[in-house]
Amino acid sequence: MEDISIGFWGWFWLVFFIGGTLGIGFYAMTKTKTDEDFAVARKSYGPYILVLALASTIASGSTFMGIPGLAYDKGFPALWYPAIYPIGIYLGLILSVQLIKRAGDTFRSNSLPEFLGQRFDSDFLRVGFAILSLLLIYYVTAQVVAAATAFEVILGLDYRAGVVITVIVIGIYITIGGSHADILTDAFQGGLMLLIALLITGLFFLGTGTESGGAAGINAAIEAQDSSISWDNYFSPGDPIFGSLWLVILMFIAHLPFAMNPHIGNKAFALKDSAQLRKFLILAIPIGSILGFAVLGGLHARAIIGPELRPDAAIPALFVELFPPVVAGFLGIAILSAIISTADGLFVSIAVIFSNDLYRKTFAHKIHPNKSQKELEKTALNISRIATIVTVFAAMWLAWNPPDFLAVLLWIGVGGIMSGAAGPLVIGSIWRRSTKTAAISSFLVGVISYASMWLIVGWQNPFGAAGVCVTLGVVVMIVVSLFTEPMPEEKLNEIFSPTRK
Amino acid sequence: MAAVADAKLHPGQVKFGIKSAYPFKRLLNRFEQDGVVEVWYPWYYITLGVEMDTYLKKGMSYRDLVAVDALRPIRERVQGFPEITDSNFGKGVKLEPKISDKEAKEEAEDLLKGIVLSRNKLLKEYSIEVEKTSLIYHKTFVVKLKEVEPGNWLYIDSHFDAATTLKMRPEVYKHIQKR
Repeated sequence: MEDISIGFWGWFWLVFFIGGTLGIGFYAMTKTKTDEDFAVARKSYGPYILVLALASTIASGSTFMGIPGLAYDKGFPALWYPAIYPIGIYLGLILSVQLIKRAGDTFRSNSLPEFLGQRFDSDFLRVGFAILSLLLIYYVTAQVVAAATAFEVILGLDYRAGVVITVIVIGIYITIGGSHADILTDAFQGGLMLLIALLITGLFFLGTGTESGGAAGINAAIEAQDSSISWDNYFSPGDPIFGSLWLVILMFIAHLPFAMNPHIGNKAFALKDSAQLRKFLILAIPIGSILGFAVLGGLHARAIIGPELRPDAAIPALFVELFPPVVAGFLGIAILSAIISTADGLFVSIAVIFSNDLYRKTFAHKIHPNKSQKELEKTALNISRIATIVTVFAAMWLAWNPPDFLAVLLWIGVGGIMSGAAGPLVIGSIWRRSTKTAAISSFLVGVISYASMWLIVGWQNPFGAAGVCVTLGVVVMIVVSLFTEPMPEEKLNEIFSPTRK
Repeated sequence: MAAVADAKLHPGQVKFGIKSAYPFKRLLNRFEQDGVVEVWYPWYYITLGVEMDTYLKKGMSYRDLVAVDALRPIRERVQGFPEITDSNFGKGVKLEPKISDKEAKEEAEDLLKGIVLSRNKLLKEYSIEVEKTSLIYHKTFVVKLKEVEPGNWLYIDSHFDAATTLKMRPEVYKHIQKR
């Protein structure tokens, strides 16, 4: 009976969520005061809204499922993850965003691969980074799988029906045009996720459902089950992710270039005024950290439910345990928010790879040499539309029978992008002396070493592998730069302090 | 006579400039002001009309304003014109534009095109027309600092809340060195 109730409330909230999101989208589109609002959202959004949009893009399905699942399984040592990753991600953003925004504005970059090509005057880097970024399709697929799993657990829906519904929802959602709709829906979802993360944090510190209450009550319950995962253990000896301080340091390093993923870094281009960049960055760390606190729910679930659950279901099960069905059903919406706000950014980024990085900037002048600028732009726009639709169907196809090695492919994508981007984008943004040869070497070493870690060495720790390869990429970037010809001063001035000729 | 946008330099702006240019050094060093050079910096202000049809609504139109830096490849959408007076430059350094108003128009058009295209998923047709171009000189300031090399002096443009070291603005630095 209870299951039916949760399913009912799950559906209720799902209709509410889809209606709410579409409502916000259409409200934003049709109720904007002027056509100008619709077209360009004139300097409408400052740091507060954009930080929520950024946080919701960074936080994916794993924020409420995979990561709390790790804590559920590995206990208190897993708290290193929320303690480390927001600092890593946002520190990386702070280091490189100023130059990327300034130079990106100057050179009219539409994407990070394009910016990378301009920074080092290299077609190879632009095309290489663009092609590597296509692996983001596995990231999208993972979001669809997570959403369909959430539907299965909370709504009692067949997995494949969940895949179809997810793809339809995302399909409708990404066609909401209009500048305000685009930014507001992401911020709305970020706000919703923030509330759920705060609720999870509050519950943890109250120790709801434990005998003695408080965080100590949760620890006591976990210790009674398995003393090796209580809070007296800072690390899990032998664990590939939380086994030692070195692995934790690698996790930190791995997240430094995370914001250089194409669907995240491009948020910097949307900030209305460069002068607000500082406030944007100051707000980004605490808000990102609060979302990371969702991991506490995994510990809480372990304490009051015990070790029998599938780890990914820890937070849904916690809510089912603690709350009436109406609230438990609402959780599905937070998970869906996390997934959709990440997936829509990914769809747009993949479309831009085809329309801008590959067509407009690379092949257009070869295959359409006689087309006017306006015709080229029209073709690019059509390519981006077709690419979006193809990506939606590809994600659906991959999610239909999720391959066993999906997680491996996903991390070859994300980890590979981070390993390849760390040297050229992060070091290239803060160090003038970085050279083109070094950037290409660092990109290749980062990507190839990351793929080898997975395929040849078979190291089952994505953060560790990314941490090693990011470090390797950075070292190669610095060493090769010192031994190769610096870029011409004129070119460097164009990037760091441009003037007209 | 030329269109100029006047400005006054307040002590708070110098403090802000030091904070922006030397986020760490200012904690260790005390910077002392050693005079100010006025610099007249050229910007093109371009008014444009945008018309567009989307799949949901037809015949939308609005006016936009873009400021194009005449010395650096920088364009920004702005809320409005600065307060303009017709006057002579008086003392100070006057910088000459390095692009024509035709080139500035193209850049402004290009900026809007990029924004309209990237932010509207349901866009069907659009057109952008330039309506008016004005060349306006902003009064900006080079703040000399005692016992600091000229390249590390401050450059302050209060119209855009921008403050940086002079070496980061080579187009201005070149003229200050010549003096």
